[in-house]
Amino acid sequence: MQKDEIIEDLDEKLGSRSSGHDGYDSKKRVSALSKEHQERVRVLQNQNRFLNEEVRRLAKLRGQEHDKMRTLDGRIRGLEGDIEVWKLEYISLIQSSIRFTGSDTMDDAELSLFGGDRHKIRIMSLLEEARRINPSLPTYEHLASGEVHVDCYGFKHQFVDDGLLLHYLCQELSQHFLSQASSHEKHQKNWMIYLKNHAKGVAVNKKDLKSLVRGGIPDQHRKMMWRVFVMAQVEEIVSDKGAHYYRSLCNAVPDSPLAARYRKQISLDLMRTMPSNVKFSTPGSKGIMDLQDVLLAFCLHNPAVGYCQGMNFLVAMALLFMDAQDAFWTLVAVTERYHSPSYFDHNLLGAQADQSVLHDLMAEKLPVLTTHLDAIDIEISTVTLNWFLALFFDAVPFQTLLRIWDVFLLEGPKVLFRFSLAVLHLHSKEIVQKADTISVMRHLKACARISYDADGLVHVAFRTLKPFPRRHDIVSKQTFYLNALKEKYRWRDLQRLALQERENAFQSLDGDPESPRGFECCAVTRPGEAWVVYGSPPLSRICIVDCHEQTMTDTEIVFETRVLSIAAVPGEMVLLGTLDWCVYAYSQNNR
Amino acid sequence: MAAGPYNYSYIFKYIIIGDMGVGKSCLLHQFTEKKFMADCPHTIGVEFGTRIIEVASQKIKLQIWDTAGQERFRAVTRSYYRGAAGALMVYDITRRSTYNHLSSWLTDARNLTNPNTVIFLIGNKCDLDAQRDVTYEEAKQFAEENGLMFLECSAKTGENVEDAFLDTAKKIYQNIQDGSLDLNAAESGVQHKPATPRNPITTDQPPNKENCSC
Repeated sequence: MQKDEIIEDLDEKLGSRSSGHDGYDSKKRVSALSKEHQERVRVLQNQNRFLNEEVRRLAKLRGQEHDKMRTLDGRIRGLEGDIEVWKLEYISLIQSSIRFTGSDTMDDAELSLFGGDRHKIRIMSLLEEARRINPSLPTYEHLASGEVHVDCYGFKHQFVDDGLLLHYLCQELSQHFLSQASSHEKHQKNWMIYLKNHAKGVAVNKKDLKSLVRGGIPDQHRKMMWRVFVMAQVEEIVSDKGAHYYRSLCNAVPDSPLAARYRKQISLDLMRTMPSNVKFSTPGSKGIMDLQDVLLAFCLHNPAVGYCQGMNFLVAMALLFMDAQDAFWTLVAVTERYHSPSYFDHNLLGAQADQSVLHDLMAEKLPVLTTHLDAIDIEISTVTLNWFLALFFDAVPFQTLLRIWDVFLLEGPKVLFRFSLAVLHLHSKEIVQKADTISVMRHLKACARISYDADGLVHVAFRTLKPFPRRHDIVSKQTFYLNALKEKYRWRDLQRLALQERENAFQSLDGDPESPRGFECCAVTRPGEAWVVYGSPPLSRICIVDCHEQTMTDTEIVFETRVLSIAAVPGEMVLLGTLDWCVYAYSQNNR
Repeated sequence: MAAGPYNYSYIFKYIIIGDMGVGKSCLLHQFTEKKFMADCPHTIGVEFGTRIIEVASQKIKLQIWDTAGQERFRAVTRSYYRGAAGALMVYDITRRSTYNHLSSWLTDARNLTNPNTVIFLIGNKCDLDAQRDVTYEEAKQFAEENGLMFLECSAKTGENVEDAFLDTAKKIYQNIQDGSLDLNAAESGVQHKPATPRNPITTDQPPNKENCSC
C-alpha cells in the first residue's frame, strides 16, 4: 500500500514536471525511472507474497505441533493414570497370591512369589514412593527387624515370615493407592456435599445415603455416622430409659447378683476378645474396663439374654470408634433391634434359624455349590454362624469388616445374607473342586479371610447377586425356621423332663440311690399298663407300670443278662429277647 | 494337597468339649501346629483341625472338631458329637468349677455319641501347678469310675498333649482290631480308606476343570 502511494506520488510529480518541462529527454528519463520503479515494486510484491506464504505455512506447522503435543499430553496423563491403576492392581495381585498351608489362621499363611526378589524390590520402591506422600506408612526395615507396628486402628503387626511381611505391606499400599485414586477423591467430595446438605440431621433411610455408605464411610466420618445409625435404631428405648440409663446400670452392677453370675464368664473372655489391638491387650486398660462395663451393664439391661459369647466382639468393635455409652447402645441395637431378641438367647434360636435361611438362599442363588456341599454332608453353618453372630468379626480382613459394618448398621441384617453369599459366590469354583470335609471347611473360612477387595465384595453383594430375595420373603423364612426350632426345643425339653422323672421314679423304686439304673425297653400290654425292663449290668428286672393307678410294681422276673427287646403279643403274652440269644415268653396274667 | 492318592488308611473323627476357657482351642492348635497359640480370639461355634498320625504303622487322619464352651452354644455344638470316634473332655486344673461340670459334659458325650466312642479326660494348664485347684488323684479316680482315659496336659508347654491325642487314637485302633468297633456302622466315627491310591476329590473320575459349572 505504502509503495503504491509512493508510486502514485512519484507519478504525480512526474506528470507535473512533464507538464512543466515539455522536453523529450526529460520524458524519456521519467519513463525509464518509472519502469525501474515498477520493476522494484514487482520484486517487492513477489517478496512480500513469498513471505506471507511462509508465515502462513509456519503458523500451520505450529498449529499441528501444538495439536500433537496436546494429544501426547493426554496420552501421558492417561498412562500415568494407568500406572496408578496398575500399581494398585499389581499390589492387589500380590495380595491375592497368599495361600494357607496349615490351618486357616494368618499364622499359617504364606506368600509365594515367582521371580525371586523382583517383586520384593518393586514393592519396596513403591513403598518408598508412597511414603513421600504418606509418611505414616511403615517401613520395610522397621518391620523386618521384628519391631511391632501399630496401625491407625490400634492393631499390632509383627512378622517373622518375610512373605507375610510383604503381604502386609501390600495391604497398606493398596489402602494408600486407593486413597490416591481419583474415584476416591470424588467419593470424599460426595460425602462432603451430602453432610453439608444434611447438616441438621441425616435421614437414615434415604436412597442417596445408601449408595454413599455402600461405597464406604470415610474414616473421619465413621464415628459420627455409626452413632447416627445406631441411635436411629434405639431412639425409642433411649427416650424410654432416659439419658443416664447406661450410667445407672453401671452403678447398679456391683450389687447385682445377676451381674455376678455373668462376671466370671465375661472376665474369661475380656483378654480373648481383641488381643492384637493395643486398646484391648493389657488387663485393666481403659479398653478392657469399658468392654467389661458395657457387657455387665447389658446383662442388667436384658437379663433374659445376659451374656453370650460374640457380644464381646461387637462391643470391642464399637469401642474402637465410640465411647462406652454409645458402644452399649450399639450392643442393644444389634441384639434387640437389628436382630430379633431370640438371636442371642439360650438356644441361639434366631442365629440358628438364619443359618437355615442362608441355606435356602444358597440353594436359590448358588445351586451348584449348595448341591456339592449337601452331597458331602457339610453344614455351612459351621463356618457362617460366626459371620452372623459376630458380624464377620475376625472372619474377613479389617478394612472389609469396616465396610460390612458400615452397610449393616444402615441397612440391617439382610445384608449379612448378601455378604455371605457374595463371599461364597466369589470362591464357589474352587470349593466345588474339593470333597474332603475339613479341607472344604478350611477353604470356606480362608475365602472370607482373604476378602481384601471390599469394593469387589460390595459389588457382588449388591449387583451381581441381583435379583436378591425381597426383605419380607427373608423375614417369612426366618419366622418359619424360628418356629420349627422352637418346636424342636420344646420337644427336647419335654423329653428331658420325662427322662428326669423316669430317673427319679427308678431311684424311688429301688430305694438304693447308689446302684446305677438303666432303662432298656418297654412294651404296652394293655391300655394304661406297660412292662418296663430296667437294670444294672449284669441284671435286668421287669416292673409293671399302671398309669391309671400311677404305680410301678416290681415283678420277680430277673435276668442275668441284658434284655434287648420286649413286645406284647395277642393272647396276653409278652415276648422278651435277651443278649444271650434267647427268647422268653410270659403270660401277662400269671407271669 | 488337593489331588493325589490317599496317604492315610483311616479317618478318625474327634470332638473336643469342656467349659469356657479351659484351653480347648489351644490344645488343638498345640497338637496340629506344635506351638502355643497366644493372642487369639476365643471360639464361637465350632472350629476344626486335622493331622495325620501313625498308629501301629498305619497312617490315620484325625479330623478334630473344637467346640465353643459357653453353655448356650451347646445348642449348636451338640450336632457335632454325632459319629465321633474320640471325645476329648477338657477341664482346667486351676478352676474347680470346670471340673465340677464334667458330669454334664460326660452325659452329653455318652448320650450323643455311640457306646464305643473313646472318651479321654484332659486336665489342662498343668504348667500352672502353683494355682492348682483340682488334684491329680481325684481326677484320676473320677476317670476310673467312669471308664475314661486320663492325662494332665499343658497346651502352653505342649506337655502330654501329643500323648492324649495319640492314646485316644491307639484305643480306637485297638477297638477296631478286636472287633468291638464296627466300621460299617454309620456312626462309628471311623472311615476306612482303601489301600489302592484313589483320588479324594471324585471317587469315580479324575478332577476335570471343565466340570465345574458354577
